[in-house]
Amino acid sequence: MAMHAAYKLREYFAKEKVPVIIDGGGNNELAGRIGGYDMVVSNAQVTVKTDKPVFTAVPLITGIGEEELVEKIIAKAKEIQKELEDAS
Amino acid sequence: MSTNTEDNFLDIMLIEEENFFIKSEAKTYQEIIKELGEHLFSKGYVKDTFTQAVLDREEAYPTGLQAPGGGVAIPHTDSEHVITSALSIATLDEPVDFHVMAEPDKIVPVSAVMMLAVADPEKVIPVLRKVISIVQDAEAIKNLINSVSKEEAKQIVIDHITA
Repeated sequence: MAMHAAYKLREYFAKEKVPVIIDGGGNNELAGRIGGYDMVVSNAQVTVKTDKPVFTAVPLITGIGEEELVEKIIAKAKEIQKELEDAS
Repeated sequence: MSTNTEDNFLDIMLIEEENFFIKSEAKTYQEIIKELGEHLFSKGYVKDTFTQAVLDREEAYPTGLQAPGGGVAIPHTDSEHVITSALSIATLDEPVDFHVMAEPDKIVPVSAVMMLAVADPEKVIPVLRKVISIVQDAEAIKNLINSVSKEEAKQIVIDHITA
């Protein structure tokens, strides 16, 4: 399921021409990896405490609210990329 | 008429009438997971560790979904417990409560359970996509829930995969 969500997101990002790296990991690996991520999209409850943006992937599976979710994720990705560009 | 790609889908993930259960009388999510998991084990699709692994995963990471056509659950586990990819589907005589994916404090009454046994996750992405397209199709889920025979239920799934 998570892999399906990741592939779908990759397609949406490609369509929007937003360059991103999508890394998949189990929920139990998140605590160790989150430092390297800019955002988390998960189809499990995220219990790791983080100030990074966290989105639920469930709309990518049910289709309910999928467009709104993708809009939010892409807007956030663009925002983060702009911040990084401005900082460099 | 099937294309080669669609034939490949059906080669990758077996969708057999014998793996469909109509109006199961299971009363809990554990019961329906055991019913489907033990069936897949008895047919040689999965290892003896599969059912418990699905139950453990469902407890930690529930798969209940409020889909457009009704409550659906998609219990599954890691590929190491699977021998041959297969899809086993049950409709329930009475909805069974599952915890909601990503919101485990919430409950969703589920009328259709689609158990995925995936031997190679990389290979089944196109199949997964089709399975999810069924979840997203209100009409298909309603028809599946209301189906009265294994044959009818299987045809709904096959129609989706070969659409």
